[in-house]
Amino acid sequence: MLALLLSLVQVSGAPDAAVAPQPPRFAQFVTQTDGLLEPTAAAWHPSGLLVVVESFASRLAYVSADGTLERRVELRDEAGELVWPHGVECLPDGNVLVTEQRHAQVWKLDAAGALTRLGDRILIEPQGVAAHADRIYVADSGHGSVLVFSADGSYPQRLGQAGRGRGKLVEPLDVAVDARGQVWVVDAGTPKLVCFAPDGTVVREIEGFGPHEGLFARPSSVEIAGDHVWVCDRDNHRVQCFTLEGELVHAHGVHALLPHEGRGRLHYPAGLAISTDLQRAALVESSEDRVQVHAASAHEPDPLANIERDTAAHVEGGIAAGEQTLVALEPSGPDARVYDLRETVPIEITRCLVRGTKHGAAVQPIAVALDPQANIVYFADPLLSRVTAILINRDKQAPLRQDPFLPRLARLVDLNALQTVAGIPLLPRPQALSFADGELWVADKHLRRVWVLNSKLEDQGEWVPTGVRWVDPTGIARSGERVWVVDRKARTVRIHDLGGAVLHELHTARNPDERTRLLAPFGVAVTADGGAWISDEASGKLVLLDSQLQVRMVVGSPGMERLQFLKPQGVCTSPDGDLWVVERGNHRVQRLTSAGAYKDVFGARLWCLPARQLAAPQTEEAPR
Amino acid sequence: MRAILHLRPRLVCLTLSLCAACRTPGTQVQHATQPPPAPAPLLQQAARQAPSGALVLTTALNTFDVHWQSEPAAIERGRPFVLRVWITPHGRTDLVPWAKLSIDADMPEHLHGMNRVPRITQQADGSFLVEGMVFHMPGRWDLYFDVHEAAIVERGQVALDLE
Repeated sequence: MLALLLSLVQVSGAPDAAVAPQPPRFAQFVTQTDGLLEPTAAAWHPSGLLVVVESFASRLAYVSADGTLERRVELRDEAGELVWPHGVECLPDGNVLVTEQRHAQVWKLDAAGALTRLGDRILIEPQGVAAHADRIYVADSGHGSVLVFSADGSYPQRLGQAGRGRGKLVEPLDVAVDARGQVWVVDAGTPKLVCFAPDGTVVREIEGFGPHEGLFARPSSVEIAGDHVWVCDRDNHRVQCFTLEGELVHAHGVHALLPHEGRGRLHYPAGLAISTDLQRAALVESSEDRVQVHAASAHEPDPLANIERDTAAHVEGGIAAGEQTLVALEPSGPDARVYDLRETVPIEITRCLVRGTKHGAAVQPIAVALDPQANIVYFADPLLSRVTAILINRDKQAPLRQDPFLPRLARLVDLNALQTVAGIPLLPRPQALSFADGELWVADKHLRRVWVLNSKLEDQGEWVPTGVRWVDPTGIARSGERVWVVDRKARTVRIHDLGGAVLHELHTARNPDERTRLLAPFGVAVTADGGAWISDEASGKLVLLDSQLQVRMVVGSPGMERLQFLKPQGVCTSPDGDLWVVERGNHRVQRLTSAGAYKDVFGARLWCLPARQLAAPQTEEAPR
Repeated sequence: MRAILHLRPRLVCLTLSLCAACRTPGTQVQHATQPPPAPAPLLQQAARQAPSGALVLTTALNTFDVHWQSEPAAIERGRPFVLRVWITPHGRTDLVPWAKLSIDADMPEHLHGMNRVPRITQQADGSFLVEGMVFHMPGRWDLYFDVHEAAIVERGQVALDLE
């Protein structure tokens, strides 16, 4: 009783506790900078400029507070090749840290342009980077960990390990360190926000997939500012603010409803940078080639922020076509739409895949292949290290209608279980597929090889390119005795023989002719005459190469009209010779004839409207 | 097309044994039309062969047959039930000795599954005992039998209408 009275006295007699200031809500649009080339991250420089990474162009853009582009710095390796920068951090002394994925290093740039490299032969796929005290923290999605480096470049510590579960990370994309030395990591693959103590133990995890506040869809960037943690969630189009104890303070972000809307409306924000004075937040929108700067605002967010997230027609990644069937992916759903091609326009007949890790579910399916004879669709999910075969149990003579019960899981193969047998420590990352002659070829980014599977997903061995080191194989296709491989981050297209030897090699970024220069080649679709179409995300072009890798035709430019493409990714040809192109930046699929002429478009309605207007085609023959 | 075990409206619960005499491959629609033989008590199935009285379905790529019985034979909404499962090569009755099994069920029209996680134990006779199954809502349920062969999983499934 006495103790209770004393405690009551203490509570009532205590001076008023200082009320912690509420963290700002960055809801007021200030400015935006367009025309950046696939910006992936940004950081505020002590000079007041915003440093933005343009990964496609391999450069840093310095943007002033009013959104003006001040200057650009191109990044090249010792051989003079463009690299693939991704994350950025500005140090108090003005030096800049950049993660570089082509060589898997961290670059430290000083004001005079001198360069120091960290992490060589240690990092696999460095994403975000942070600095605290004398340490450099690198989120590495290849390791599934945060690697910690000393200022001299030595590697003393690793936080987390690859996998699912407490303290494990599937796809860590960014890292930040608070004043207590706690390390905060966003794991897009789970998805979750993890806080590690300085000794590497897990302090807390905030986990859960969904659109509601407190949940995540694809957390892609994390920032510490003041006493709070901000998480930028790409697929929920918003930023959430948490206390250092993990309590959600608020969420803000208004989803863009119109094509390329901007000006306060967000569309797949991938990067976040908050100024140290807590006055401004920069939001990096990769698919829009744009950075928006927002200021703190006391106003409540636009009520439209509360609308349900709609993933319809957010096509990305691969596409596959057969004589009567077309399959397009929406990895952010995830979802896969199956279309019937018997009519003049594709008719959606069913969808498959749901979010999750259970059999038949997916986390981020980014590649698809089709066995048209067996009506089986194969999906590669790099974040589950899994290839899944779905049987589309359809009667091709039946009238067309939507039927959600057509797809059925037939088989799946856990590549992690296969590679564990082989004793390889890396998590497999299957990210490109090709089905031909009864074999499914699965290009693996981490293991840098092809899993060769039969139509029942049984292991038939491997195919390894000889004499080259893959960085990011996003496209693979077989044509007779030849294997085409597009390596996006190496900016290379190669033709191999079946033994793996390189027959022809094209460094697409070295081409002096700007019309045929490809800074971010992604997909490949072979043609009946032994050539192949290559898509380029950076230039919005499609290039037709012959079997000697000579350019035969160039189609397209950036834009929304016919034969204009924004971030074209997957391409495929159907048996009738038509070419199908997935546009990540336009949420749609365009269909072209084998001669490169416009034929059709489908996808998100507002994004398709400009292409449905009459416009002059922009096909050009390349000089021979 | 999908295999559906469809009940007549007057029935108040699903009687799985209705199709015990029918082979139900995944591409045929089966309707219950005749009374079934009485299912054998689960724990008396001691042979390393699939019993003749169980329901049979074939996995998606025709690799395995899944023989299964429920106890009680009539699945009722909200009542736990037990499954006994035998896995054989397609078209045969001898058990696959190395096969592993996982079970799941979804309501595809509602986009959710069971709210229980069943326990699966392999019995000395090579069969699998699945405990803790509950279908908590009326409607269509897709029951999944996932047969594991090292790194590969092949699925067999059957659709059930529960009233």
